[in-house]
Amino acid sequence: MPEPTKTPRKITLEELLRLKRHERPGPEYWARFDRELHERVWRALVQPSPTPGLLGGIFGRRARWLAVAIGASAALALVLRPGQPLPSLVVGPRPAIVASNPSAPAPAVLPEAEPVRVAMAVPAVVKSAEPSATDAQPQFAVAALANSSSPAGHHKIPATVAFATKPLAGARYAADTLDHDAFSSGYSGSAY
Amino acid sequence: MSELFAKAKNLTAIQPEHAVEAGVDLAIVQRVQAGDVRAFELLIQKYRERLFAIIYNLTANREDASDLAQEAFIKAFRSIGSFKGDSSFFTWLYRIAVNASLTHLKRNRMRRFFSFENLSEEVSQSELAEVLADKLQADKPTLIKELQEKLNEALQRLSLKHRTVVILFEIEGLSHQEIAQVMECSEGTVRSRLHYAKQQLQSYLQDYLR
Repeated sequence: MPEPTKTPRKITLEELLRLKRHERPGPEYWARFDRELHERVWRALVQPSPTPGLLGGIFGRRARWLAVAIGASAALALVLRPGQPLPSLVVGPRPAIVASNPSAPAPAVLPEAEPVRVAMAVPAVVKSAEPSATDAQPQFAVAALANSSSPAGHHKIPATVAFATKPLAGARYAADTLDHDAFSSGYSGSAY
Repeated sequence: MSELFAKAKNLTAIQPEHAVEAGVDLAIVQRVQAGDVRAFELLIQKYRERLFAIIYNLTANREDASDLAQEAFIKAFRSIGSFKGDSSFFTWLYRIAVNASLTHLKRNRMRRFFSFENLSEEVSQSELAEVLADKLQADKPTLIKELQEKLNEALQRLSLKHRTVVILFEIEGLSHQEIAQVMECSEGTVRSRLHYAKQQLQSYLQDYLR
């Protein structure tokens, strides 16, 4: 008697979609994610908050302007030489938080390419080590002021992984396969 | 603490197993609101992978997902003072993440490319992969790579609304009610979008479903 042929079982759409649960980055990715996020959170503590609330209470407007003044003075002192005319102050386009060693003699300032451009500096609350339950109070360091016209109210940290902005050879473009009508109808100014 | 759990239980939209979780989250949020900003770290550790997954599945781009997930946490941190506990923390957080993703997608609609995350080794060892390889008479590693591309392409062909519903329901396992809270729409709307989205996906992926 011939053996009955085995019919492969039917795969369901739900099973295929659940495969996407296995698309997950590894542990090394999360170490970098945590590091970058911590830097952003600390920066968020000193940036003007778009809405008042907890952060506005911790760092009121007066304290922020005082911090800006102190930081700007420190930056000018470091950049200007005796007899040099005062440059026009220009807000630096790139933010950065410089984690300073608490025992360092002077705060670090990001150098600008053109000598006449001076970054407005704001003391930022940073951590010089990974946070832990026994950490001492955070130390202040000079950092560049973020461009407040950024749409999201914050900037990207200079990434160690380049975010591609130009077409890459061999890259698959969403525009090549997208149903544009469906795409354009899916967003009408409000989220849904 | 009992008041927190009572509040969590009143969030009837959430699944029962999430009620305890919601109570714990509320306690942490209240600590942050009281000034213990380091407590926010606990919420980051708890939700970072899920947030990344949602955003990655919406954008199909690993690098954008990383950036947007961080942005979502920052936004949540900035506005945590206004979180009242009317919804669970995770639906509130997911809403921030989804809105950030949609804003990003709308802004970059013509300048996008895919950047896939690696599929874990478990997939190639799974029974599903065996069945598919057998059915399609294909080499398993090639099949899995192709399947990942096709799955992501199919999802990207859906509109943003439909893609979001499918991701939250089928991949992240949220209930219809929770999805309605995230997407700020009715439960009926969630069900109808899900039904339509699955019909579309069935047709895009029919080669694997026969």
